[in-house]
Amino acid sequence: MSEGEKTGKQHPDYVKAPMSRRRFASRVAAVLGLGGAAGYLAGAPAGWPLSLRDPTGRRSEPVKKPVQLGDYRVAVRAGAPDVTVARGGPSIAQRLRRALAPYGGIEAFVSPGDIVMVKPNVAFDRAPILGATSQPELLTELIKLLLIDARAQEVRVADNPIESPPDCFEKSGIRRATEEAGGRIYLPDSTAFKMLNTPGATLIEYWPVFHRPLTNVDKVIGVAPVKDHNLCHASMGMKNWYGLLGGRRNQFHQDIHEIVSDLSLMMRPTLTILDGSQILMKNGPTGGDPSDVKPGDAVLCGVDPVALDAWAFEHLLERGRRYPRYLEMAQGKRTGILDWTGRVEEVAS
Amino acid sequence: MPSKYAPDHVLNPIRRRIFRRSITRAEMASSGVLVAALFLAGLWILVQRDNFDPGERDVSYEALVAGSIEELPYRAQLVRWREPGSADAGASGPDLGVFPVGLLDGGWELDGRVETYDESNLYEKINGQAEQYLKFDFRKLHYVTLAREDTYLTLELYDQARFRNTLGVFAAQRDPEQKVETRGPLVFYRTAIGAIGLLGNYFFKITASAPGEPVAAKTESLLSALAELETAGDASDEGFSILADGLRLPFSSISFAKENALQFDFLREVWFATVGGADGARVFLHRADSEEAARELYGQLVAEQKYEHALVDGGDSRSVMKHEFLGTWFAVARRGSWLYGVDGGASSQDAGALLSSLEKEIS
Repeated sequence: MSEGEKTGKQHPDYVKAPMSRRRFASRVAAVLGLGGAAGYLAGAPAGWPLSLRDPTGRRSEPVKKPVQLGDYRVAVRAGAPDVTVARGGPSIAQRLRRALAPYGGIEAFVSPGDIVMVKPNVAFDRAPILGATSQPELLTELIKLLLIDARAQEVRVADNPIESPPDCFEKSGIRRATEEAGGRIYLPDSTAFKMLNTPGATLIEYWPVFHRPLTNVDKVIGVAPVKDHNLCHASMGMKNWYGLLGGRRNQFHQDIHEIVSDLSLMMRPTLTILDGSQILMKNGPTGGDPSDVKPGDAVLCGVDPVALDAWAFEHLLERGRRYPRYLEMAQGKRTGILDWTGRVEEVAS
Repeated sequence: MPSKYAPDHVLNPIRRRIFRRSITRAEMASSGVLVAALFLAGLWILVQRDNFDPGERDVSYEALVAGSIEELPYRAQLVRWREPGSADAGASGPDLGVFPVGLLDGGWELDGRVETYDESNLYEKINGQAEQYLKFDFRKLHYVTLAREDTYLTLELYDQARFRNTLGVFAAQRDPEQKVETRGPLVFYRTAIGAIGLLGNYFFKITASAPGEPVAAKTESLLSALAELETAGDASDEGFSILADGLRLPFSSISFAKENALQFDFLREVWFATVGGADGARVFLHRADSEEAARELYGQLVAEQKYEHALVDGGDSRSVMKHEFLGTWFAVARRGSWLYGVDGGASSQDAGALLSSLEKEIS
């Protein structure tokens, strides 16, 4: 109980503040204005200006701004071929170096200090002998070239297999190859994906991709096997980027040629390398019988992914010039030129 | 004038700011620093939360595995429940599902648990290849990985519901030059790192990581164990019996097309067998739902084949025609609900003889 209440007198510090009519009216108007504005914000239909009405409760969900991938291509020196093929020779390592020689080596693509993302095909938990995944030896050699010759800051090796990613990296031999050469593996987890906007793509204009390994990278290199595919006839360099897609990507099998051609828009890599060492000639993409695998002796490098795949389809898979439809569609999307004539340099051993 | 120091304040003698007319510069500065720090921290969280880059944090591979999409707890081996107090309490081994007990002999151990996939999630295991199995009435995939030192071996067991579907998958994947072996109801061919074969409604693949003596021995052991596997439905099929038992054609020559037979989308569920090597003629037969359905299919087939063939002898239930460019002979006939014929015959006599053989077996 205060002193004033005890004594029944007004507190000595009390100062009466009389309010004028104008002030009273202005305060009432302010209160009514604020109340009316709040009522409008809360009650106005969702489509009205400034309305905060949220009948579904979903307006408060965070809106993630889609990202766009950069163009990772670099200008190659004048006169360099669009596709190089190195056949024969004692090892994959030597073939890779020969295939890169017409461009001026790996240094023509990667500068000192670059962060490089390498995307092998690690789609299945299969042994390399089955030809369903990229060959570890080629990956080892490429990482060494990137770290030693090109003095890259970091080499990231990433793929997003639908199967258990650790199993796939382990059993395909990619984990050991990467770690031995000094690369760093990126495995997918639920926070590693971002909504990607690919302008011009038909099926994946907005689609989640495994983006974490692409964070801050300067260059991107695809390393793909050459293999038969049950649905799209052949899985080579362009199809390899399918492994970066997230979400329920199996639904794209309904329109596989469209999605593969979209991938050529999504990723404009610095370089694509095709491994013609273990060519899965039938029963792809998983394989299972080593007799379906034809030992090869070729490594291909290319800066035109369409011409690169076309040459491999014809010469490594030996399927003639009835190319998969996705290559023609990719050409239609202006991501490469199908006719490789005069644009391929075969490097002698 | 009342003192600005309140007598009842113990820790902070200064009045609360709200009751003061002036605030010191030091207080203003410290507040500013705090607000700025909070703002910067919030900004950093906003920027970094969605931009996680393990390359900057040196996250180990093991940590990445632990956080990967695969749910590791679900890989632990399942153990069959044993009632506490029962005679075999505590003695149970891992749950092998449909796989035979002999799976784990010879020093091989289970790597993870037995996995099963149905038609809704088969793509998770064999993305891109799943459609081939789904086309042949796929029901379930039982998948297990065995490990022994540095070698691992996987056994895939596809339940295709019926023998005809299993044979369809088998024929689609088999290299025609592979030598087919049989062991009781088990039919298979060997690969350098395992074996591929079928048993009733099951199609199986044994695939090791590398060739070697332990792998060969384990493959042999698994083949023996699989031969004992209980199958569902018939181990054979009426159409298959006509070709294999009636015409005595080798198993390796027989195949089954679920759809798009002879490249006609209206022709489904057709048995084929090559006669006289890979380049020889093929006989085919199909059992329609009714005699009327067989009649309709016969009419459609004859009409379609006329685009590339010249009709030599045509009738309501039997037609013989010659390919206009290849010069090969095509013959088709129907009897009851059966539709059967010969494709790629070298002469009209050959085609006619094969057609007669089929007719004899069907009747």
